[in-house]
Amino acid sequence: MLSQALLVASVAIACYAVYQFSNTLGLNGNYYNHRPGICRRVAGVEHGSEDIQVMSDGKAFITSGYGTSSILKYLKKHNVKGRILLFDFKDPSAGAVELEMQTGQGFDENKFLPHGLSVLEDKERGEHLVYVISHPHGLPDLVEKFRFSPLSKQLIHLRSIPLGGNLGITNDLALVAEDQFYITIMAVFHFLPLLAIVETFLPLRTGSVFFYNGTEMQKIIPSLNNPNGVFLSPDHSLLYVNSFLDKTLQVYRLQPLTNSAELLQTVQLFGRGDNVQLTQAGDALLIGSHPKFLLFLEHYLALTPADVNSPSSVVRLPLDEEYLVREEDMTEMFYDHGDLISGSSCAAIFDGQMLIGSVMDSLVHCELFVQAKR
Amino acid sequence: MDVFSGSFKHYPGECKKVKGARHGSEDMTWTHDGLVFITTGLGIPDVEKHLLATGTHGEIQLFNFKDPGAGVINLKITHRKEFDIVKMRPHGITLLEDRVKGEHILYVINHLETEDRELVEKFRFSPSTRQLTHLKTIELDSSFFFNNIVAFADDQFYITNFAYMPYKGVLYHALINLFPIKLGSLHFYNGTKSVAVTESHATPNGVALSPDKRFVYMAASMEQTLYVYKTYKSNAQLSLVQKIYLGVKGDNLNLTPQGDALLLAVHPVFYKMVFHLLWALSPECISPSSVLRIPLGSDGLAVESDITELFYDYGELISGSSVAAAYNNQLLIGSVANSLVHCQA
Repeated sequence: MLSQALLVASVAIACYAVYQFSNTLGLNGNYYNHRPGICRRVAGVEHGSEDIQVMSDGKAFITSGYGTSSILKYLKKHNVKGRILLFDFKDPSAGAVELEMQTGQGFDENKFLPHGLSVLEDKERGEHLVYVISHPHGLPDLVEKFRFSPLSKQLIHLRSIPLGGNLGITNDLALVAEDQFYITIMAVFHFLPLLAIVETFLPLRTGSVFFYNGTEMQKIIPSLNNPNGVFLSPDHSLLYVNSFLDKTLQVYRLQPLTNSAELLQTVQLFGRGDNVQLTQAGDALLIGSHPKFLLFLEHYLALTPADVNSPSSVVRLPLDEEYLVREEDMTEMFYDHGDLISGSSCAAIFDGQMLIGSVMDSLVHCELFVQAKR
Repeated sequence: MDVFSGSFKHYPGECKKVKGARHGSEDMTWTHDGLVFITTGLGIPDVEKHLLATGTHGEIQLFNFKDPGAGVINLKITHRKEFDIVKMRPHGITLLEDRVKGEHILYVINHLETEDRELVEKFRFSPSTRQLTHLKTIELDSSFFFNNIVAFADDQFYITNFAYMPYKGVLYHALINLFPIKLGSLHFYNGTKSVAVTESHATPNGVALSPDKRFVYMAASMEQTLYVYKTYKSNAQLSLVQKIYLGVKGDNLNLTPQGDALLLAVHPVFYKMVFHLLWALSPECISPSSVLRIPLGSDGLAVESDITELFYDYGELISGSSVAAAYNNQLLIGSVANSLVHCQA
């Protein structure tokens, strides 16, 4: 009797585990293309546009040329260069322009493999401070700090911020003030290439969010499952973090005095959320997401990712007056099987247009049909 | 059963419930000048109880895309004594459009379950009085359960035989919807009798005809597949020219007025639809709704790579979407037993 009961219980647990696992891989569900307007690829962007941030004057900074030690063969074969692009929403036909990087000592452009970015906007003179996470091959992750020169349209490299060698693989950052930011540690298994991928589907809770206060890194939120994009509410009171493995967006209230954060909300998404941005109207979050993770892994690890389609999705999460997500009103603004854009990681909206970025594929520009949804 | 499926809601524009719709809007048929004829009052368990309790019955309603704010009106039917309107439980509807005088001929599938009869009722619409005149009743083989219909010519139509159903109880319906057993097929009624013109399928549901009548489109729900057949002058056996696996349970099909695409309403999370069909009036038993747009090429075949989803709702605005019709940047979406929704793009 007891052995039978145990057998039934183990089968039930095994079935549940299989269900959870297939859920994290995104194996189930049939989805269809739909777009919020007329969408086209932006010319000249083939190796990703992983993170985007738009300034209030419509100029958007985009990181391109994402790479890590795990995908060296792909980087070499296609001669992928780490770049920062500028797209002007007020002049979309000009496309995405590569910004020349004026380097000081110590900054090696050839080792620059950018990931998440965060910009401190300078509304007076346009000399924005652009911070970008870089994964130089064979070295610990760094945050590269640049100043944008609006006259010369160049990025002047100011300094490389070291994060401490053994933290792991970083993903995205969110600036509070100059040289002060929150940063996600996505994976700790960085000593062997590709091992970090294990942390994307085994719920080991090895990820975390740190705060860099100008001199040192402090752990603010521990035990997260593969945290990805991170973003601050406009009043800097709340922190939004995407848990890649859990397919959730976590909303925390920051407690700066105790260097901790209180979890307020866990928003369940259908796909794996990547980066988070705020709409121009400030009333909603936009998340680039990967509806089918197994297909994304195939795309990510392919020698020529452009040949492997991975579905893309942009989700809009409306916020209430306290910057919490109104879950019942979440909608999907864009879904593509991967033909137009594979592996969407972020989206930004400005003046009736949307820009959608991807980890290693194209950059898409949409003219939105419904102008009111900014 | 779609236990693991889920999607985010999204709409093609501003969508609102239409006034006057009460017992569902299972099927629609449209005219080129914006009129839509809708069947309401399909006798699924909860709805049947409500119809009997309130002394109402199935109706045919009219919606005008040129005046969407007016909502839907019930069309008065003038008929002989033999036509028992109290027992009318309409399902699929189609029309032969009269572009000259607007006196459209409507064919409506009517399930007389109390007498175990499967009927197709023929009506003429009078645009001046906005009334329907019942012309005749066509009796079909009651060992089948018919679902949807599309008119080919006067008293000739394609009709989907949902399943061979000698016993029409709820349990048998549930069985058909759980296991994809091939008990149905597409029939053609030639004026005197109806004959199967395709091989067997599991739950053939929606059916549509291309404007040039060369192609017949059919959605087989439990097979999650769209079939495209070519017609021949003799309208005997159809030949299969295309088969598209959709991955979702499709319901009714309608062409767009321009003839450039099919609109297919689907049930994306089917186990929720099963509960909704059993307990349609319970607020907890809602089922997500979705409308797919399947473009058609100039060769009459569906362009599989360009299928898009126009509408997805969790079931709060509309539950169990069964049909959609489009006109000039507007979309009208009907459901088996829930609301009728109008979207303005």
